[in-house]
Amino acid sequence: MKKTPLYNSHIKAGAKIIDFSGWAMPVQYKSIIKEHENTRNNVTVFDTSHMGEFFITGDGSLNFLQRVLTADIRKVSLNKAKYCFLLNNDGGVIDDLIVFYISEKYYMLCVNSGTIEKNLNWLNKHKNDYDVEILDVSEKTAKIDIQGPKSEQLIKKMTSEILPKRFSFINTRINGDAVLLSRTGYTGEDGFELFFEAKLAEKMWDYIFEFGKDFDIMPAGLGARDSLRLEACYPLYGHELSHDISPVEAGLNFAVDLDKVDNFIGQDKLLELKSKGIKRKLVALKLEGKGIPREGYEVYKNGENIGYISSGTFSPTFKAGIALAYIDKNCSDIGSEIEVKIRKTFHKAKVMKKPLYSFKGENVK
Amino acid sequence: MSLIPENLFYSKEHEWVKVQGGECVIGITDFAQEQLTDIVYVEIPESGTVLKKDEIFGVVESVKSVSDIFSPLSGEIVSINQDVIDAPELINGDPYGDGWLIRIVMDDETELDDLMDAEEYLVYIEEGE
Repeated sequence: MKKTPLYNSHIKAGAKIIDFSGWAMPVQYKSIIKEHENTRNNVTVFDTSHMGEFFITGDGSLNFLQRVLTADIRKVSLNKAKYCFLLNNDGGVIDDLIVFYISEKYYMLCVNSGTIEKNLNWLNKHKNDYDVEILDVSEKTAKIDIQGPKSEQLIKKMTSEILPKRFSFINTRINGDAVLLSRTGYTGEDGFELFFEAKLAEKMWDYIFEFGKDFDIMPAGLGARDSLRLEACYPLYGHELSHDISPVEAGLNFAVDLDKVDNFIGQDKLLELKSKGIKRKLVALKLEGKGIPREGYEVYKNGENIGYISSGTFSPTFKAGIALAYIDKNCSDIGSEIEVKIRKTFHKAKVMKKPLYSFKGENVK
Repeated sequence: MSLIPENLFYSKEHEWVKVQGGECVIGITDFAQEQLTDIVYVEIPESGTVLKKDEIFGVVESVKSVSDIFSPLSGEIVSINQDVIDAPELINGDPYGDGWLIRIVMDDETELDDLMDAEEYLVYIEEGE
């Protein structure tokens, strides 16, 4: 298994390590529930160094990204971070990512860990017509996410710079080291993502915890990351998104500029899909009684199978089973009563408004 | 370090058995609850259900995982712990006490011979780690 530069820090902190798509990652330290609640109430720190980072540079960068990304980069301004997709020719999702607009000729893409190679192949395959260089800096880059309502106060202890607003970033120094500090995250809370040189990782981790003591800081693993993102109804690649699922079905139209003048790969297919109408839709579910929906469980209405759970968990915030599910569009109205088959029994559930847990920080698009 | 009380029998699937006359109380071990952490859901059958040794009779779930519970003995359930269904965290807090799962009348006392005593169970979990 591959190790992030913070592997030893995790072991020292008593982490339970699992294999996450080839990476030895902390799933939890003491308790997923405690780490989850601490993210909602205070501040937690996640090692997300397994994720991939590419730099896209050169005169043709803007035009190249206009071609391969669903976001209209012409509408994105300097120092903004924008969530969007790489699509295949059929409108299926190759990956979901965040593009960081550093300058007109200089961008960073932050991609999922399991899709680094696939993305590189796809990008390289399509760069021929553009004056552009693609640099994979994943191995050399560490990433730490600081998330929770107290994350702003904590960051303010470490830098005197004016902090970026939601979906923006700055290049700054923390403890003397260069950091790309982005106000983004995957938890449904206010928070920051720090990108910096991998060799600084342990030093940065310790520095954050030194200041974090005053804010009830604790490390959090992938277990809490998953339950937090599910409450916030954020998709996870390989579960809610894949080659066979379009962003239209996933209800993520905000990340696709369908009216983009510079035609992007997959755009025509998405337009076609939108005009024809979709059959299935991604919905959020909450179980009414006990029982925990899990990935792959079937969803029923009036005895008929109408879809499946793409991700499910026990929600520490709502103290109930929650899930994201792809179901028949005709049954997807909010309040619709359905059933989840758990082992041999059918459990009542309701389609809920997304997100289940609303973002609690300042919300600036 | 997991607690392993002396007076109990243990299965390879990390259940414990306490013999009280002809009846047996069954639960999951301290080691098992430590591995699972944060138990949030328990599913066990009703009283009267007939169990067969080594067959799955219930489920415990943590936030992230689902684990089967295997019956260490054959017999019939005479009572279940309703409190643990309502508050699964009892298993984390007191796996050998308030976190018990079911009480059964066993069919065949000789099945106890297939289970481990505390000393054997300690060796078993240490070897597994």
